[in-house]
Amino acid sequence: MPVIEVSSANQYAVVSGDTPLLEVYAALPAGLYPPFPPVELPGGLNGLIGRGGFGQNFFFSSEILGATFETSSGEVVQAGGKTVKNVQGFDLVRPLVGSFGRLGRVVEATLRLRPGLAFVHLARRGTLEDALTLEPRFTWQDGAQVHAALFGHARAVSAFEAAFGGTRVSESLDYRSRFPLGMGVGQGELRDSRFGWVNGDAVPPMPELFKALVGAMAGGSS
Amino acid sequence: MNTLARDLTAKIGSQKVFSKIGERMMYRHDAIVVGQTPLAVVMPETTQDVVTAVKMARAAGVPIVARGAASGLSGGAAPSSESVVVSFTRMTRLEIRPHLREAWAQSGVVTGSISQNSRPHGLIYPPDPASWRTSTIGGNLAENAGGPMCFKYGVTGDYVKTLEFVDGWGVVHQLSRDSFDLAGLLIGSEGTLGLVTSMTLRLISPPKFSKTLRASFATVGDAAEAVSQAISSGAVPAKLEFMDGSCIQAVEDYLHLGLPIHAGAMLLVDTDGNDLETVEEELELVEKACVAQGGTVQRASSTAESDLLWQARRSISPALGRIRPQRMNEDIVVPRSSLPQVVREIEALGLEAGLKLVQFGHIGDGNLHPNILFDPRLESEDRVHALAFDIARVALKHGGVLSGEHGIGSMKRPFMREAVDAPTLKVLWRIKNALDPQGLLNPGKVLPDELEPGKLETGELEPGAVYASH
Repeated sequence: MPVIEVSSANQYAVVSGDTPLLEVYAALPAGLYPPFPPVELPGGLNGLIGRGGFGQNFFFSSEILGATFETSSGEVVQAGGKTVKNVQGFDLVRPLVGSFGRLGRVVEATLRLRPGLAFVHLARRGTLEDALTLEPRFTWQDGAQVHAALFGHARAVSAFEAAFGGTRVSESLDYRSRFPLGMGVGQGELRDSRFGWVNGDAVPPMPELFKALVGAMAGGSS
Repeated sequence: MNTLARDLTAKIGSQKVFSKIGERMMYRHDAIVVGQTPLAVVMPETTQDVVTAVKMARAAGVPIVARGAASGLSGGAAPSSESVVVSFTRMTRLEIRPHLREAWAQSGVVTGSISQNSRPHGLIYPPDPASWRTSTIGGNLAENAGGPMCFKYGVTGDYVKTLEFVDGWGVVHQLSRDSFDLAGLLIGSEGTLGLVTSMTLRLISPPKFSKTLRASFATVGDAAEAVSQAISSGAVPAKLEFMDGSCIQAVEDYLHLGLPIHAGAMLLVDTDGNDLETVEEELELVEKACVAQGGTVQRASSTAESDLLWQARRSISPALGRIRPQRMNEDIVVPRSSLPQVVREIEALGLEAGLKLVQFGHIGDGNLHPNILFDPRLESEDRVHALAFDIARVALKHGGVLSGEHGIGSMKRPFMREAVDAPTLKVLWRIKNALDPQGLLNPGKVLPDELEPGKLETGELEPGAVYASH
């Protein structure tokens, strides 16, 4: 099951966890954008949420309005909902996002969509750090190349293109073949403002108290 | 003086502990609920003071309630039983780090002072709950406070980069958020999982330009439709506020601003950015959408005119205070497209209950503040509670939530069983039990009591909950 519901009026999309990221792009109406760049990555939306996003230059987990996830013991938990603001009970979305699957598997998630009258994806030689100063929506380093993408008002997008330079990337990218063993954290060719991404299953160190959360999520006894 | 107050005084110092009844009584309320008088009030000046207070309260088996400026609207800081209140108002160290575009703040820093101190460096802290002049940043984190700017800029929690907190055992933790975001769980947990002592906050450059318009409409439905059209045409206003007809009337009666009193709804909209033409174009998109829905639009031509238009929105609280001495301020959120229907249903419920009801809110987020105005000497609080419950049910029926920015506290706790499905509620209890097995951290808040297996649910309305007057 791919994209389940798109609401242009409310600017959200309900998407199943196994949906490939480019399928989400394909399903959206013109002028609405999801919180990730047009790059296919391992594990579809579930993988992306587990890793805490990719290439974002904004607070990613606030763009995940809600998620239904299945814990390791098979319970189905509803985190968040369909609204942008929500302080009803403990926030389970934030800890779920970037938990590398340790809290459960995303069955479906509600993504906030943002409007943009124009969009550009650019690449050139350079570094992530200097791209970040231009405040793109998304940016990542791939070897000697730095990518940046932005949507928004036409003038803002063209001003960004002029400042960043490089060439337009018009085709969608697929990075899956680089990660046959999974998309892990480490030093490599590919990196964004949070992590370097390498083939494998390495994850960042987990804080002690987060382990208590993992235990609580998995079942009462642990 | 009770034993615990005496021991805390001996250990932490008489300057930092209030033990006299007159002093303690000042710390039993927030802006809506009067709770139990605490056994002792600790005024920590350092994280170590918090650690000591938590360890001693824990050893005595006494609950611990964190408190900021007590401007909260859900009872979050009002003790539900005899407790040690840890009041953060002396932990006010603030450090602006312009090169990192961040601020480091202790929990007692007043929200407004963050932007005030950042502005000379060309930076601001955007979240702007209505109480920003008095509320503390620690309280804002505890409730994950919002405000008008949040539609475009995000809520409190979105600005927290790292935080330091003291857990229920008195152990200090430093948390960052790139992965395994435990801080994200702490934020909005109302002091029921730990006590946040300091944090670093992301700052942004303030937009260079800002433009304002006011639009009035025959019906709430027209206003909501205009908002929807404006947003789907690509506008992302910085603020998008709504007032219903009764609210417009209340403010007009108070200030005589010449507001459109025959309108069913009014919108106040700001667009902002660094490119003036884009800011103007964005406001035009909004204006077009308003006109298309039959709205009457007035654009401010200067900052002074903008301020004048916004005065109506800023004056809602005092205006409502004139109508009835007390009010229950609801805080529901629904998907934007259901707003016209939701506002109509709530209006009808108010009429049916025979209580004075006005509605306003952050319409871009679908965050609505239906306010029930009442006089406890003349109007039954049971009826007020019943109406509040019915309003919550309308939100839930339309796929919404009980609270967008005020928190659950003790006020909305009775609604949680209806709002959250049983398996999810079970998980929330397990999390609470894992981080606070003795239930000493702000008991009686957020989650309803866990039911013993086989035990039937009894009425959960807080006995003896009293409203603080304004």
